[in-house]
Amino acid sequence: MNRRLVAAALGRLTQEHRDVLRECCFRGSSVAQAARALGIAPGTVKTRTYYALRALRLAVEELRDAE
Amino acid sequence: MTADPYARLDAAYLLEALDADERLAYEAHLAICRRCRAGLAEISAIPSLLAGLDESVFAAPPEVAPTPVPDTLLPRLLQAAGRERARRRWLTTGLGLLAASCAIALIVIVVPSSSGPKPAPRAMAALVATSVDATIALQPRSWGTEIDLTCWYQRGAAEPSSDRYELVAHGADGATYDLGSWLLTPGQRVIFTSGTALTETQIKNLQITQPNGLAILAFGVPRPPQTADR
Repeated sequence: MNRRLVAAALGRLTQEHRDVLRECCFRGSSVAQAARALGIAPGTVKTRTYYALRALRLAVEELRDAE
Repeated sequence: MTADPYARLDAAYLLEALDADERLAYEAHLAICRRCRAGLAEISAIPSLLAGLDESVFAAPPEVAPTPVPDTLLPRLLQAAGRERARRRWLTTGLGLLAASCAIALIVIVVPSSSGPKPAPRAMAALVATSVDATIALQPRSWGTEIDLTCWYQRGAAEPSSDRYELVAHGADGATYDLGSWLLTPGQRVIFTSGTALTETQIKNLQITQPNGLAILAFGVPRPPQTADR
């Protein structure tokens, strides 16, 4: 998978979704750590990652189809 | 969609963000819940895409640089704007008169529709195995009931093609009322607003039917609790 395409797909997400992915994915934070870093409830971290990964999947698929 | 407390945990699990207790509980749940396994499978390949990316990709994307415009564009735009202004002066006079006569009608229409909080959308229940999901919210109106529907294809293994769906209401009187139709495309969320002269108590249930007439999703309108006779 092309990194440029993944970066472009991330650019289509909301900043909230990118933030939670940066915490949990790039920084390897736990739910509790991400919740503290972002100032949101742990439950929100869980649901936000849930929607963020699905939004990312959709954006990647759309960009790939468009190429 | 569901009261399953594990239903939204798949991403945090894949990203290894759950604590040990929660991870074990989720894994035990996965063994017995087909729906959660399917949800997990949908996105299991996604975290690996993010491996090795630079942190900068998680920042706000840069603004797209504007493309240069031809030198002749500005004079042409100014000319066109001048013509448009002249046209509007005439139009404004006419519209002003029209607006004055509409104002009275607007007050009547706007006031009732802005009253009352929006009810929370409720999930529709599947009647058959289907890849369509929907939520529905009923709002009492002076003219009947407003129905706000959100409908989408679940993201699953078999990607369905676009299809036409219809919303029907079954009245407490036994009659069926067509409330409209829409085209559903995979990956797209359809927000569909409909309405009926029936009040909530006159609606027995609402159903979504597929093109062959088969009802696939239903929502039973909750009845106020009956006073028990003793």
